[in-house]
Parts: sequence; structure tokens; C-alpha cells
Amino acid sequence: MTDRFGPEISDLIVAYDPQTLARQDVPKQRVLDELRETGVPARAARAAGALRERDGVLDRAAVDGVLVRSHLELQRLHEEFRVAAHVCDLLAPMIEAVRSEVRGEPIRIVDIGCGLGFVLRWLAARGNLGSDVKLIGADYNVALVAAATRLAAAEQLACTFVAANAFTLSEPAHIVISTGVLHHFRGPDLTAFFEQHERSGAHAFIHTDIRPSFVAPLGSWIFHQARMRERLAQFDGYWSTVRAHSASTLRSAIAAGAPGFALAMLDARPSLRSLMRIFQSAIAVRSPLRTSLTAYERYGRRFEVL
Amino acid sequence: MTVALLLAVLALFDCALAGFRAAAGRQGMIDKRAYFRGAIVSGLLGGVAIVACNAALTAVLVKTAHAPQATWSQLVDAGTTCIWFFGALATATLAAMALWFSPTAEVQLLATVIVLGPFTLIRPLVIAAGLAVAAVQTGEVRVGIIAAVAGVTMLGFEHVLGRRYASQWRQLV
Repeated sequence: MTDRFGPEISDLIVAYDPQTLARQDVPKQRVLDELRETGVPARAARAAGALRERDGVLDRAAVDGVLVRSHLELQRLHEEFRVAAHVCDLLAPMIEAVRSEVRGEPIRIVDIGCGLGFVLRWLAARGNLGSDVKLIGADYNVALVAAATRLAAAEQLACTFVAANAFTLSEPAHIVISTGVLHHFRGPDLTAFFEQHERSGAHAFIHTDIRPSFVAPLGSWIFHQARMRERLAQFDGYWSTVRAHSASTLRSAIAAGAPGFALAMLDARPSLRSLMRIFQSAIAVRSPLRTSLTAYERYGRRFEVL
Repeated sequence: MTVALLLAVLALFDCALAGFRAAAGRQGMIDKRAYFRGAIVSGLLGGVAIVACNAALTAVLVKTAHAPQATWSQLVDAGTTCIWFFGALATATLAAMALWFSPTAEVQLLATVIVLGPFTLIRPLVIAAGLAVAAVQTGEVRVGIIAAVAGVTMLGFEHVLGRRYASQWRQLV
């Protein structure tokens, strides 16, 4: 399936071996060509073009620097939008439901594509989720994982971060979460992403991502111009709004990839008021836990079981 | 003198926010209260220095004018024009901040997305426009000089402050 939108810069400037997750060299020209060929606005190519290279290959330290700085700016946005508090609200009923399933085992919440681990660190600092909850962040990027680890250590927060595939951890997730990750998976990759949930031992997942609307790209562009300093962050932040998946796309992918889960959506329903909502969440539990979704009915019309 | 004091208050408010903005998005801790307090205080202290420098320049230019009283009157007129521009932006900014205390999440978000984000973008334009209109209205060279220096110091201040925080990310890699 052809994606009608091109990639974000951050999708192109790092590459990993799919089996070993070893970092691979990324030729700068390949990035520029792909951005040009996929019709991404020219300013994306300019932002990528500004990245340092050595012998035609993107300098890994420079790329990591841009990514860390961009994620720090992204954290600021998430703080302003109170993303972590929102995820915490959504997690609470799910933890209750899963607690009865794991029978005394710690409940492992794994954040996929955790970046600097803002959401997990916030949950560790302020979430009050219970002493039996283990928070684990997984990301392919070693530099981001190292930064998340340092930040957690600096505040003595009870969460860990690993550079790994979240679905192949030695201690698998009971609840999988993510923030701003889903739109990076396109077409068959999105279904494949949910197939990994189906095959895993996860009891539930909550994926929160940008909610598409006709005003979102303009608002996002203005906001990222105002808030972000890194050109990569300015572009990717705006472009992620353009690329945000519709609720129906998510529904189809989840139904196809993870049929063993009962799905609900929060803030996906179109309405005038929802124009002011930046995120939507896909909330799902294994079918036997379906009744636990009733806890979300307190969100009223914002919530719908599918 | 009231106009001068009002302008000083507006400048200090702007510098305090510049301190916050310069620090924002550059530190990854969860508890950033002390960090932001320090940033705002730095902004305020820098603002005091900026106001003092501009006040000193104004005093020198008024004292050395052929007709100090007339020059001062023109400066007051120019300052009044500036207050309309800067005061409007400051009032709207404060109103948006007040919306953070709303119990409704959408309203809080509205303040951030619709008001504070765009206002950060238009702030340089508002400052430049206010000073330019004030200078052009009076047509007095000394007013123009003071407006130009005030503009450069106010608009360059956040950039200068930002250099203090720019390399913080290196501690994470």
C-alpha cells in the first residue's frame, strides 16, 4: 500500500538491523532523495541537509544530538498538553483489571518508542500507580534510552529503560502503552504492529496519538514554530499531524492485527468540541477483560466501545 | 513618569517570560519548579539591567537635547503609544494564563494552543511595531534612537539568555 504522505525526517535519519537492532549507517543522500521523491515539503530536506555527515554518511553523534534536543522540546509540548496525566488517568482502570489476572506478579507497563521516557518518568514521579507496577520504557535508539536512564536516575525514579524491541523483552509487558508513535507505522506495518500485540502476552494496550482534524495541521504548524527550536522538530511535529491516522484506520488495523482484543476509542468521535482535543487514544483489553472498559464510561460521549 | 514606570513594568514582565521561554524545552526533569524559578529570576534580573540601561540612555539623550522638556514630552507620547501595543499583548497573555485555572481541560488547552503559542510568534512583531509607530509618530531622532536600542535589547534578550541553556542536552549523552 502506498502511503499518501512522505516520512518524517526522524524516520529516515536512523536505521537499525531488524534482527539485532544494531545501528546502521545512513547515507545522507539517501535521506535527501527519499524526502524529495515522496513529496515531503522542501523545508524537510533543508532540515535534513543541515545534518553533519562524514564521507557521505550521517554523523551518528550529530543525529543523536538532534534527536535528544528534539525530544526535550517534545517533552515540553507534552507537559503543556498534560499528556502524562492523561495517560495516567487511562491506565488506572486498566491496572485494576490486569491486577486480577496476574495474581501477585508485578504488573509490567511497557512504553513503546519511549524516547526520553517522559510519560514513564512522570508516572513514576506522580502517577501513584501502586508498588506492584513496574514501568519499562523501550526504544531502539541507544542515545535516547541512555538519556532517559540518566534523567530517571537524577530524580531517583522507579522506572527502567532498555534499547530493545518492546515485544521481545525477557519480562514481557502486561500493558503496552505509547504516545505519539502509531502514526510512524504506515499501511501493512500498522497491522503488523498490532499483530505483535496479539502474539504477545499483553493483557491490554493504550496507544495515544495525534487526533487528525482539518484544523490540526495549521494549529500544529503555528505551535511548533512557536515552541520548537530544532528544524527537525518543527517539521516532524507539523508533519506528524498531517500523517495522523484516522480512527477508522486504527480500528481496521487493530481488528485485523489484534482480533483477540476488545477495542474502545477515546476522543476519536468527530464533534465541534473535539476540535480542541489534540490526541485520541485506542484502548484495548483481551476479550475476557472486556467488562473493564466500562470504567471509561465516565468520559461520556468522548468514549466509545467498538 | 507614570508612562515610564508602566513601560518598565511591561518590560520586566516580558523579560521574566523571556527567561522562562529561554529555559523551556531544554531540560528533561519531571520536577522543574526550581529550574523555572531560576530562569524567571534570571529573566527579571536581566530585565532590570535592560530597563536601567534604557533609562540611562534616555536620561542622557533628554539632558543633552536642545529643549529637554519638549523632548521628554515627545518621549512620553511615544511611550504612551508603546503602552497600547505592549499592554494589549500583556493583557491578552495574562488573560490566557488565567484560563489555566479553568476546570475544563479544553479551555486550558485553548489558552495554550490558540493564545500562548501564536503570541510567542507575534511578540517580536508587536514590539517592533509599537516602537516603530511610536518613533515615526514623534519624528524626533532621539526618540528613534531610544526606540531602536529598546527594540534590540528586548528582542535580543531571549536569544542571549538561551545561550546559557543551549548546551544542557550534552549532559544527557
